[in-house]
Amino acid sequence: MPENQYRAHVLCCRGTSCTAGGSADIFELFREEVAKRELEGDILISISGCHGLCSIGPIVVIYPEDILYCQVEPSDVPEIVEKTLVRGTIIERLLYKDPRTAVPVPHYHRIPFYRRQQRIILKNCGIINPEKIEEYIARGGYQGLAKALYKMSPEHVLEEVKSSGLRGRGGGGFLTGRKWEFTKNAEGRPKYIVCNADEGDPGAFMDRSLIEGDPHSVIEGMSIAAWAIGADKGFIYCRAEYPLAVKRLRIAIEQAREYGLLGENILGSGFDFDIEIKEGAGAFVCGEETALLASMEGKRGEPRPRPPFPAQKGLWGKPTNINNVKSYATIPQIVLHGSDWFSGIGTEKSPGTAVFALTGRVNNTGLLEIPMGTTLGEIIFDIGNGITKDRKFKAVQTGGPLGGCLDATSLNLGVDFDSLVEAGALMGSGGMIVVDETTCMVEMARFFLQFAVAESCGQCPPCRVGGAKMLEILDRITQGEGRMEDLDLLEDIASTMKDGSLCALGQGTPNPVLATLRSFREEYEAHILDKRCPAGACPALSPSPCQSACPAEVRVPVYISHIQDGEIAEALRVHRESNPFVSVCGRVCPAFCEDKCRRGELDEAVAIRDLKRFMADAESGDWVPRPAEKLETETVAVVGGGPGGLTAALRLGSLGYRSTIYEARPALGGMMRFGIPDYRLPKDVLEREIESILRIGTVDVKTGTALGKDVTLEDLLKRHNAVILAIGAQGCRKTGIPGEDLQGVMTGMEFLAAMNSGEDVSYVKGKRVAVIGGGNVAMDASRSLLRLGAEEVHLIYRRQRADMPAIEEEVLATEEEGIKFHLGTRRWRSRKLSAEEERVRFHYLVSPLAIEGRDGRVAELRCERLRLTNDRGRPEFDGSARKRPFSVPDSEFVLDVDLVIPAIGQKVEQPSLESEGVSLNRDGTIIADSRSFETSRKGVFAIGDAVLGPASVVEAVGQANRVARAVDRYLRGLALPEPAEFMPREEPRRFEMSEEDAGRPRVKSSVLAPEVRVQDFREAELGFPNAKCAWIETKRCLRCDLEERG
Amino acid sequence: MSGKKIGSYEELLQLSEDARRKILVREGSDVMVSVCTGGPGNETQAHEVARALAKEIGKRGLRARVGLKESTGLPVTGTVVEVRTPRDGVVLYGDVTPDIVPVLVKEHLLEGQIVREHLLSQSRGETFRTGL
Repeated sequence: MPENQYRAHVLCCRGTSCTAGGSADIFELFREEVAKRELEGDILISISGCHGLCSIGPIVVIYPEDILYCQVEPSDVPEIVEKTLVRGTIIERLLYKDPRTAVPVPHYHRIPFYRRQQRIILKNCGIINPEKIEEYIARGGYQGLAKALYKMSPEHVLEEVKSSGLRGRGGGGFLTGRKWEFTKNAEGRPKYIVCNADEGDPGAFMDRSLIEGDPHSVIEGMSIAAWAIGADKGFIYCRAEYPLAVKRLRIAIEQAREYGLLGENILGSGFDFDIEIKEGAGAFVCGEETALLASMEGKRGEPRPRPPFPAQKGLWGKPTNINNVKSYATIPQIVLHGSDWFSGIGTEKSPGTAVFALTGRVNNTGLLEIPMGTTLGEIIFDIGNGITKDRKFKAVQTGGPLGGCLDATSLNLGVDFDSLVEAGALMGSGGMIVVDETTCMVEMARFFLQFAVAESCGQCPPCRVGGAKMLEILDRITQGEGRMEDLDLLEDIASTMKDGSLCALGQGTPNPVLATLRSFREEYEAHILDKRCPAGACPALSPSPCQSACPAEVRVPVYISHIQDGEIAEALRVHRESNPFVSVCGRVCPAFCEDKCRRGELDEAVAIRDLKRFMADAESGDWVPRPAEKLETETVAVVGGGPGGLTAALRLGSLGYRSTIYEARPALGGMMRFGIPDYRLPKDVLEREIESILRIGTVDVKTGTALGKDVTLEDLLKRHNAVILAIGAQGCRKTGIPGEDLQGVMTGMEFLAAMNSGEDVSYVKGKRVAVIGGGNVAMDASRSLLRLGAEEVHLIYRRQRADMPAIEEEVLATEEEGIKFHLGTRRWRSRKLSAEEERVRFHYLVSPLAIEGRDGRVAELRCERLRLTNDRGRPEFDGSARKRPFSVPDSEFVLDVDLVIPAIGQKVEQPSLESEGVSLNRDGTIIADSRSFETSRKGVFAIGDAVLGPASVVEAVGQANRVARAVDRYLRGLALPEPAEFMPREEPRRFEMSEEDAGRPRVKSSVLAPEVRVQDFREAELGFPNAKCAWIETKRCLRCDLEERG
Repeated sequence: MSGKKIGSYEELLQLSEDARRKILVREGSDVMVSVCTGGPGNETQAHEVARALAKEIGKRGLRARVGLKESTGLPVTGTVVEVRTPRDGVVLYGDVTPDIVPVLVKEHLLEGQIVREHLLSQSRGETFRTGL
């Protein structure tokens, strides 16, 4: 046998996805190249079915070295032959790289995507040539059938399938053995075996891949079913849109007949069975078994009421057993290995494995097989490797368009037939679509509904009329024309459809709407009440993703285009319409706009914050805001002189109201002044910005006047006509560990406030400090401590780096500054941390236990290590979609420190409010209406951190803009909240981008080298080096706001 | 095509066994024989050795795999072959020609004897990892 001598095998994936990527050419090229080098006798070039990781195709696997090359181009083939097949080296460029760490993984089976899978149904996919029956037989193929025919009676096979507990993999989860039994016991002959391969869900490709990769497993499973039931004819109903699957099935059936594995006298046993393929026209409803049968009989593909079930009266009125592709493919394994083996996998009620097509916003998309009971979190975060671009997980849609979506609270749900139904979703045939915060749930529900409505057969009115009506309502809501009554109406129609529809399509159509209404009702309300799409995805409600993402709704693309045209003054005017803090936000804004920037989907987001800073720095002259021409007699008290209070006072001035800012501290600025160190926001920049706001001339300032101490709410309401509380969140949360009252313990905010108000903090010099927390305050404290000369800073955080709430740039800057540098090198950006060099030590997955003291002073911090798996070695997820840390037994250790700075979050500290009639939440934040900002006391409004909890400058500004309008309406006696208006938008027009701009990388701003900036409090980020850089960067903007809608 | 028809259970098992040998390369194994491809002139010889190894191992139905490896070997040692087994660790043979391949396979892989005449080095310390 000459084939025996092949030293190596090269398998080119010929699944649909890789074939579309050109793997047919790659296959031919490999043959040519290998022939050219006269290696045909040594190396077998073959094809395989789908490997599952379709996003990295075309895939080539080389055995025995087990090398996986991905995204192979035909031009790579000569190199692969030369380097790998002739010389035995690995081409690193073509290896699979971990999407997060970019570390290449040379060996196919070590790719994390595969490590946690258990492949039973897909065991041959990607390993054998699906067009060669010999390779299937080599992997134990048809031995299940042989065992059934020679060693088991039909009853015995049926008993085995029944006791395995196998449930229908098509999604219904009905016991396969029971179904077989019904057909077997039904009166009438002949009996038929039908395989339902009419897979039509968007985003699902399990059945297709299985047929394309391992068609014989389905044929073998059907043959065993026929033996058990007593049938001699089988049909595979496959949609004609799957030409490759149909082709492979044809080849497989032909080969099986040649080998005597189909047809008469199979394996010499005397048993006859043959299979025919029926091609469907692709109607989704034909996946429903009675519609499928009707279609096979040549009638319209419409469902009919059951009973009688197909088991009694199926195809042409004869008893018919219908199962899904995956159910049949599992049967040979059960017969071969026994029911005990099978029922030992998965959960008790849902034994075996589940195949999912994981798609959407995960790093690894593709086909996977896991034991039932694996949690959604493990699938998405371990196998799927988390959300792309480290965005926040929002929801996962399981079960296709008729399934439901589950939010972060369901990540610990073990996946099986019953648990998903209980949670309000479906197993379905196995589609799993992950969405992140950039997906609008209303739009997603609308999308699935649109699909289901288009696929309704129109036979029964609840489905035909109800679906169309629901779609009409959702269309209206996504257009911003919805009404609150619509939500009840949707639920009403949904329940009628569920009760009255004939088949699963009509009953399931409302599922996505109901599921999103249950978990994401506030998104529907935002569309209706605010005319805003929180995800920035509905075109009618969101002029551009950046503008939608900005809490102050700054018209980002407009000012960027003004910068491009050199109109700095105009650009600033546009920005200040929505946000007066251009200089401040140009330095410290978390830049929600950049997170959502569509350019970021291509390469990197436009450097919006840097552009903002550029225009602020480029301003010539002083900005003088103008008050309204006529001033009203009413006045307003604004409590708190932070970003919220200042913006509110400014907006009130332009609406014609005089206001007085009451500030407890000696100077205005709030957190901008007392929370943010100088190296991020120099005081003079802040002063200038505040000064220009006050130039409006309608604002009185009373500093050193604290609410509840120097003045009461009652006083303010007597003096003024309305009060806006913008008091911020000044208090710091306690860790609750013993020893917090020792000398040398101070909260992060206390430390920053002391430093920023000029108090003497020189005592930190030479000290070893532990900072507890992973937020921006912790980073600010650590970086300030370094600048003040602390000897060592230990950052203690209970989770991993990726989970830190601090802005990524801040964490990076802290890491950079924490290293002791050898002067003379500038290549610090690419340098890796090494332990000896660190001055800031990051202790991840560590939790403080107690602060130990000596003579009343801090002496050491006792900590313990944490891990992200529970004692059974499995991860658990919390409501924020992050893995929950668990303590590691006996892992205590001690850090010798002199100071401990807990920075684990701020809280509102204003207990006097409650006694003055302003209700508070349990966490101390003020209860205020989210649209009108009214508190429980008439005439008193609240905004900013005091309502939101610790937030950002731009969020406070956004609320301040709106509270000023609310106060205006209140004073004029108009109803609150104000009716929502659409966001302003540009007229759509044609916009073209040059090739050069399309390929241009993001322009980097200047940053001081860490070894320089860590010496003192000089500003670390320097903005764009010159105007040309800014101009070039503006040209990268895609101008999403000019897009045509509709 | 009736000649292909499988008439009994035993025939199927036999066919499966034969067919399995042909795709054995795709299954993982803890025995790996790697032929080092030396400088540019040495490749032909290395491939001949690899071919002989594959043939010999195939003939005997052993679970070893034959791979290629970029060589760091010295020219004086001719074609270098590295044999990794869980029992003997990593063994390097020098000056391997297709003629001595049957000896190498028989003695080392089948009988577990190191072929001293061609031995360059042996290291048991290296952690062994299975291919698949």
